[in-house]
Amino acid sequence: MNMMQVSFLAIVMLLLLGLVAHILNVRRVHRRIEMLEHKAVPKEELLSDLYSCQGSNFNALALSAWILFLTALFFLYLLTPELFQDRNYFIQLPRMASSLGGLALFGLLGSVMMILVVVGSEKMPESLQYYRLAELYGYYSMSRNEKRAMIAAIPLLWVSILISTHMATIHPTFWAPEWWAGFTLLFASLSLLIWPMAKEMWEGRS
Amino acid sequence: MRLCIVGIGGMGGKVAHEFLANEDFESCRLTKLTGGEHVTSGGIKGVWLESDENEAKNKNKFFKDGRQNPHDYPLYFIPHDMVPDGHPVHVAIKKKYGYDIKKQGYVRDAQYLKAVYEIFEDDPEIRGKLLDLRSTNPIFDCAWAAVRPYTTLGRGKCDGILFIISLGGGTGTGFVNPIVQHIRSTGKGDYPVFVLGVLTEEGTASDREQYAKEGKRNLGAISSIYDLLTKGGGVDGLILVDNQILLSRCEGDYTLANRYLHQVSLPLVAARDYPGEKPPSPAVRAFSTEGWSFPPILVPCYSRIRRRSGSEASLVEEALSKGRLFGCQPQDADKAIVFCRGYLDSGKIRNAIVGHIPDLTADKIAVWRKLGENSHEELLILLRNPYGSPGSYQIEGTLEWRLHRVIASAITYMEGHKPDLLYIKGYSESTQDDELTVTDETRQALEDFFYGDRGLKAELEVAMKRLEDGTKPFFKRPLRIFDIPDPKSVSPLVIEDNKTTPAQRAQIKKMIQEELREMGLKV
Amino acid sequence: MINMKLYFSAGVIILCLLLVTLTPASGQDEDDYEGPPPNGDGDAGSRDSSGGKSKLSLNQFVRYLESWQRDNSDKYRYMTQLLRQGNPESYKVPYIWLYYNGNLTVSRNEIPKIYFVVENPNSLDLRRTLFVDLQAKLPGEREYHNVNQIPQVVQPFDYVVSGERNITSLKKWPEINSFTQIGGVGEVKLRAYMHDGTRDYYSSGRSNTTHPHYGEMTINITNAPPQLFNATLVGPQSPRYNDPLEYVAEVFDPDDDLMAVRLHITDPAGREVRNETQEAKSGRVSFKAAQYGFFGEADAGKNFTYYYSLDDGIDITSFPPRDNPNATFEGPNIRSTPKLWVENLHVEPVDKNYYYWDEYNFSVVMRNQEPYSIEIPVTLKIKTKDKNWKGVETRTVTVTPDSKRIYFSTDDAFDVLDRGSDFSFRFEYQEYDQNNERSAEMQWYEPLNQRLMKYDLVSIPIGINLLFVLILPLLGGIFLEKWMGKGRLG
Repeated sequence: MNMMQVSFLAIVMLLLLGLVAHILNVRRVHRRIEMLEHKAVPKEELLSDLYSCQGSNFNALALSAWILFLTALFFLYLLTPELFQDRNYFIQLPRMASSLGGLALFGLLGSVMMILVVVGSEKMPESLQYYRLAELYGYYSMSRNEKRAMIAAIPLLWVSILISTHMATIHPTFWAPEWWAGFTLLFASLSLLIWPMAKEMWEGRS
Repeated sequence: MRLCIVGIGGMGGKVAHEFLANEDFESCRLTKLTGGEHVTSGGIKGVWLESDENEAKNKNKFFKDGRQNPHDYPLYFIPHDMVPDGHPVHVAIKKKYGYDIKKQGYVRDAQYLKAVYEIFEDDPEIRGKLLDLRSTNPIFDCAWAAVRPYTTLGRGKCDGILFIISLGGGTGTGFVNPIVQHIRSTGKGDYPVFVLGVLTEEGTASDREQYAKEGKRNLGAISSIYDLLTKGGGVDGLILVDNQILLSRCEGDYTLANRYLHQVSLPLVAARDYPGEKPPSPAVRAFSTEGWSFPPILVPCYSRIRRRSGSEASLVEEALSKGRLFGCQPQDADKAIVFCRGYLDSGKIRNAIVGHIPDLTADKIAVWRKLGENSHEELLILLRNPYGSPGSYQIEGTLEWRLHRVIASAITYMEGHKPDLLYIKGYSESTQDDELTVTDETRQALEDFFYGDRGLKAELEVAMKRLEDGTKPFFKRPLRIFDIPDPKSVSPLVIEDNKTTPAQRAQIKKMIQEELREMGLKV
Repeated sequence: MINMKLYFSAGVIILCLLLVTLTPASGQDEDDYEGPPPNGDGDAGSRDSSGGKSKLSLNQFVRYLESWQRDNSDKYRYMTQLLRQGNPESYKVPYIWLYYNGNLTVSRNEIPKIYFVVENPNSLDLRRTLFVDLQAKLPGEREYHNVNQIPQVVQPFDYVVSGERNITSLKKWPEINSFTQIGGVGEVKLRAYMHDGTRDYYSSGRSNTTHPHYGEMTINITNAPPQLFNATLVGPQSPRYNDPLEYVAEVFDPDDDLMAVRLHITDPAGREVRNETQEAKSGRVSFKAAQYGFFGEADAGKNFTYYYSLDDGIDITSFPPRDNPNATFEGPNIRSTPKLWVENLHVEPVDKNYYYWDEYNFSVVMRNQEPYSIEIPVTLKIKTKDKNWKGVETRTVTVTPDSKRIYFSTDDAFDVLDRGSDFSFRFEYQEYDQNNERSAEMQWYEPLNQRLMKYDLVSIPIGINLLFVLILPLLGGIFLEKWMGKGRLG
């Protein structure tokens, strides 16, 4: 396994960590509340009380950050054949990739996919509403500074996409430090996005 | 419990700013695109009432002018702007009473606004000149109109009001009672209204900040407290905070102190209630006022510790010992209202409180929980009337001790500054205040109010005695400055039931109860 | 004659009766075979109980005859011979003639309905088996010859009585189903030939016959000439001498004869320059010019015509008909073929990086070896790992007797799929060059650059793309929030 594959795995693991942390957080709260209440508490009721609005601006930017994340992930790993030598945009659709709007189309793909994920997650039933991506951060208390820090993921992702684009324009020339810079930014931004979940999981441990 | 935060005056505005700060990411352009709303912790709403236009327009960057940008949020209002300059009522009051209701920045006399309010409420001659303003009490109507839309009495969602004032300042001190009276006079006798009053600190450190010397501040503060605690059908609780204690915890930084005050209030106002423990404000009000005829004093005791198992006892211990925001003896409290954040067992909290206050039975302790941060747990206990031990006034750190000193200071000021209080020509000792000239009638009324046999000074002296004896309550009889007779009434003793307002009815009831108590009858 | 026969028969019968009645009833031997005993059918002539002789009935007599014929055939034969021995001169000559009720002028492919009839005056026992053939004598021939292979046989009993005559029905030779089998055309004489093993008989001996009866029949057999249709010349409009040309036609002989189809190629003056022959039955015939070598280089610039002649062995017909010697089919007009000289293929990219999107100058040196200028279309084609001689550009160029380098500048030669690939290029033209080829190609030694993106990071296209990529998610997030309102207070 080369370093790039390892890096991809790291991204996936971090994403999974966020997901697992989120699920564990909700379950832990539920379990503790039931213990304190000395009775069963319907999950829907708990989730409804647990949820608090974080503000439309923040929510919009958080969703934008997630959409950008998937786009940046696509750009870093699926644009050129560095990692997936056969399954990448350059190899699979070279005409589209080299066309005037090729990059825009690829970015559109990433964005649309993530938007579909968000919209699709809205279909979750009330007992699983914490899986709704648009409501993700409503289950965590976040200070204004924490929100500002999270939104910093957006410019990081922008730079990551910029780096990936540059690498695409010079392909097949490949400069490893540049790629790693793009990866680092992607990883850092993902860390920011899942920070509330990880923090809550860590702080809430018994 | 979703409160409407009304900051009155400078300090009230600053603290209200902390409460009403937008939790969302701030960006005007983005807000226009997303259609975002101002988001606060717990979904609270609020407004700022101020009298000083300079303070409101130039020094403040948070609140928007409510008259010019009514759809903005949050807003500030300058209620006395409702009466245009030179308006007949402006002229009439000036002429009859000598009060200039358009004066920039209120006269730093607590009774000034009290007087203005009484004039508007009771003088039919003045009321007759208000027809074009479509309001019988334009200043206070304006204030109420600014607040009401956020409440369930308007189209809002706030089911209670929390006024935040500085006791001893100018606007807040003088404004809060009239506005509360006004709210009650509109027929909303059972709408929860609380006041968070921050008592000015001792010494001269605050003189510059408050534009008044300590004695005057204390007089203003105690006048305001007096009115708050004696007006029947008034507030449902006066939460007393000692600015001295706040500043000691915040290294003398007023900004930090304001922030700390907000933090202390989070268990009260924040969101994420436990399932089934979402107390509506009327429930809190009912618990707070039950078994007590007068508006209660609520002393906040706050603690915040790192989360650990079995932290209830520690939280309670910390709150009641080191977390008191006003000097008091917790064991004298007759009720405890507890708001907490974290994974806490309400039974254990009760037990812990009972451990400290044995006279409190479990039914006298209400606990409402919320989920907070994972790292810390917080507890806010509002002790109702934590005073009443004879001789406690001599013990430093008790409520009796603190208020006894304030009252004493006020009395001393009254004794030494009669010309100031009566606006006798040449009285002004502060370059900040222009000299007021009042009519003889007004001066007489003021003299009776302050120095009469049943005036403020006399009542304060009685109150001191009650504090020393440990009698509850220590303020009993409401006071008025003006006693304006109703020309329509045949006899002052004839009360036509269909013409009494609920406030008047409540006041009458209180008076009867007081008389019966004095007669030694249990009520 | 018939009465004689009757009397003879009666005499035989009486004699037999007498023999029977006078012969003792018992003690038979082989020579005295009398035939089977009567079978008690109540006939007259039954044996009486005293064992004495009884009367012979006719039926009995017949049974006797049958039993003798069966059981003692040699004796029986001898008996009949004895009874027959009479005047050998009593055997009569049978007669034969032809029967034909059709037209006396026929086509060769028609089916002949020629019959024969035999009349035999002899009695049954005297009749002989007759063997009959059909004979024909063609125009100019002296002798008759048999037409059929197998003679028809007339059996002695193969007659019907018609009045007092013994005559056969109409008989024919089944194997003769076409006048073609007669073997010729023109006025043909036909007769029937009959023999009985001892004598020959000819129908032509009878002269007093009338239609449809013939002793000797003269019939005029005519031949249907072959036909030719859809004569076409398949090939390029203005062919070179060695271009694939094919003369194609449809031939048809009504008589289904094997025809000799001959193609005559003529010059504009009508003089035949060459011809070729194929044997064919009805159907399609083709003559490939290349196969037969009709045209050579010397024919370049000349015009030709052609016609066909068909010979079915009897008639020869031309198409177009040769009543006008100048009547021919037009074509082909062989175009002149100038010879080119092609050399020095070269390609020069504008950018030395050999990007696929760059402009490339493909060039070749050409001249006409003939002393005149010509305009010919030249096509540039490219071959890469993705493309197999894909046409890039076609232009009409003027090739002069002087060498001139011809350029094809294009930025459309390659696309993104060609990146990193080796490439070859060639020029195709419609005339032959010094190598007798109509194209010249070259493989270039420098592969194309692997780079895919045409644009640099700092460029307007990339800038616009990036703007889209970076802003779209923001808009997406804003739109989602505006739509769902999750961040707003409930």
